[in-house]
Amino acid sequence: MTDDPLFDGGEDAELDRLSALLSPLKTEAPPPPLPSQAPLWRSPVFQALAAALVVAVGAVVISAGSDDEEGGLVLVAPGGDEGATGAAVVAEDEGSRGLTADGVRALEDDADAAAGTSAESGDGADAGPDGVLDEFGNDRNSGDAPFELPGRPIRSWDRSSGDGARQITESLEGNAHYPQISPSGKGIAFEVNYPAERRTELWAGGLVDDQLTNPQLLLHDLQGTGFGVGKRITHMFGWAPEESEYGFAYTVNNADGQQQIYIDGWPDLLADGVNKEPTWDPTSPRFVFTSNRTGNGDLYLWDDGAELQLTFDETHAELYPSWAPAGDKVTFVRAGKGESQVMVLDINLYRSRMLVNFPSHDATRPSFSPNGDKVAFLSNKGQDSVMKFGLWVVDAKPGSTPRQIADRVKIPSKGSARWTPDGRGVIAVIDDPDLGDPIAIVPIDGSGPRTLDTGTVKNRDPFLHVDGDRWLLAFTSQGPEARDERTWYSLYLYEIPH
Amino acid sequence: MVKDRAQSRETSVADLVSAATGGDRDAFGVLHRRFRGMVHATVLVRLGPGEAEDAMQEAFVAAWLRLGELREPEAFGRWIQAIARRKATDRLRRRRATVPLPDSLPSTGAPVDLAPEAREVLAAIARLPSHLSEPLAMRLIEGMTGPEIATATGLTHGSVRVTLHRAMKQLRADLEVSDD
Repeated sequence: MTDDPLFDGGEDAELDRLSALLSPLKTEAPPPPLPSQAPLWRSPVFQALAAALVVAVGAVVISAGSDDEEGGLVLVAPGGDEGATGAAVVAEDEGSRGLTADGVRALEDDADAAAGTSAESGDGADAGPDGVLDEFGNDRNSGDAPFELPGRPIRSWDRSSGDGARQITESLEGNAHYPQISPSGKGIAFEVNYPAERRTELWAGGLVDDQLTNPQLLLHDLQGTGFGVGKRITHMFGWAPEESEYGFAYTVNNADGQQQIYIDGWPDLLADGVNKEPTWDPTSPRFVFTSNRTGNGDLYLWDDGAELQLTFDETHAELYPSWAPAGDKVTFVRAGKGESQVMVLDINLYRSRMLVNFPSHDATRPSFSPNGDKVAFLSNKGQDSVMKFGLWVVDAKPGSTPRQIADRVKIPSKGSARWTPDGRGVIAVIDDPDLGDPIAIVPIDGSGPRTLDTGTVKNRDPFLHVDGDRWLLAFTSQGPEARDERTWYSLYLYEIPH
Repeated sequence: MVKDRAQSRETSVADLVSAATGGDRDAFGVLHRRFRGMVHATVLVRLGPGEAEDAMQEAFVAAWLRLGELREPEAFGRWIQAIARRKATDRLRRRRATVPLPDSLPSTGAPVDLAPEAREVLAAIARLPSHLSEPLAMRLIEGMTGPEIATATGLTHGSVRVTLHRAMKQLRADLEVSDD
């Protein structure tokens, strides 16, 4: 007998009985017949090394053609050419990233192609004709019909004038929250909260010429459940990356009080425990989510049906995950014992390291900068109330010293702060009722917030979508200053001049 | 070149991958023996026994074809496990496209000589979340110990130990409910 026969493999009557029962299933298969391997010079490693070598000597950039192309080596411009140098640097960076799960995905796809199986795989490639409904993947759900026509229509309504923000929803009896524009820019999802009824709805619609089109209420599996509208609450929406076979994911509150995650394009709910915050890797069709299935809040990775536990902290809850743009790291919050810390998890090594710890204070809602070298977060350190937060930024390396860049900002209803694509600033709502809680770009150099002229007050939840040079901001607001008696929050769009 | 089994047991995964990348089929054969249990368990809990070995071999062939692109040879286990999951997913999709998905995946295509109780246990394992079912199948079906599972998957010993116990606890609960 050993102390732990399940782990050590020692004798145990129950385990031995089960193993014997299942023993016919054990594989003894010999290695399969192996075809010829691809030539080594076609491998990304070889190409990256070659590119790096060329950069080092400042000569030429080498790229290898495929078998279908003319093949061989292609000579590009010498290192003095700006474009060629840029290409080589990219290759070098990719070569130095090591084996990321995204890299695994690429390898698998390549392997599939080589094995001739990719044409048979996937059920989500039939995007159908152009149109906003493609964003919602109605035809891609193999099981139930999760979408219903809205019982409470939200009409497209453009009341914009001048240079300010454009209202794209008519305010009804609820507050719009947490808008998210799809990676393609063709769709937008948002929540509507009805305080009097204590319920939340999740809506998604098209975004055409900066107008909301064909909004749909996302109701999950209402038919046949015996529950009415709103009993199965959907919220915590996240768009999958563009060109993914999955459309999005969101959390479903079921009748038993459990929270499950619905994935567009996947037939099964994630239903083990309370599951929240599906947060997609921007580079790969997989997402991190939080779950209490192991008795405490931990982070998990959903990767094409596989659910992998990423954190194993028995004493803290892991919350608010946010991906690095390269898809190799996740920053998150470790909460417990009256305080919370900002952590960084290497997604390939399962290794978490603390980035920010303010004893007796909260550090929360972290997000990576566009190049991944910094993390912005909120903290109540130095505030006169634990409910008030300043905006901070820190280098994404343990041991770095955080800097506060804005005194007081509004905490988003969900999600994390958004960076400008140039990495020079963070978009936040300034917590200043006298100024109407304006949205501002907060430069990380400490030069102070630059207020955006949205023409609205009581703003919340700014979400930045970048389309080339266009910075399109979606946010919620109680409206223009002239109508600040309005109660309900509506959805607005604003193009940030830069 | 890898000469024999006695020697191969001492050869590191990185060395085997390096040799196999250079075309050494014997080295890849050693990798196959070392990792086939892990890969088979990974696809078995998704597909059931009818397709599991085919999916496993597909994963190894795909890995063989792209070994040169594996940037961290010591990560071979996690890499081929990810490929195996993908292969299983592809097969599930093809299956869904042709026939309705059964409630209990392992019941389809199970060998005739598998005892009814074994089918029930396998179905219960397959009903666990994959992060629990995979290591439990490695332990109960492939006969791998916790340290062997950790080595193959790249997880820590502590993670594997905790995961195995959680999986076993849920399996017992599931089987007790079934008995009721």
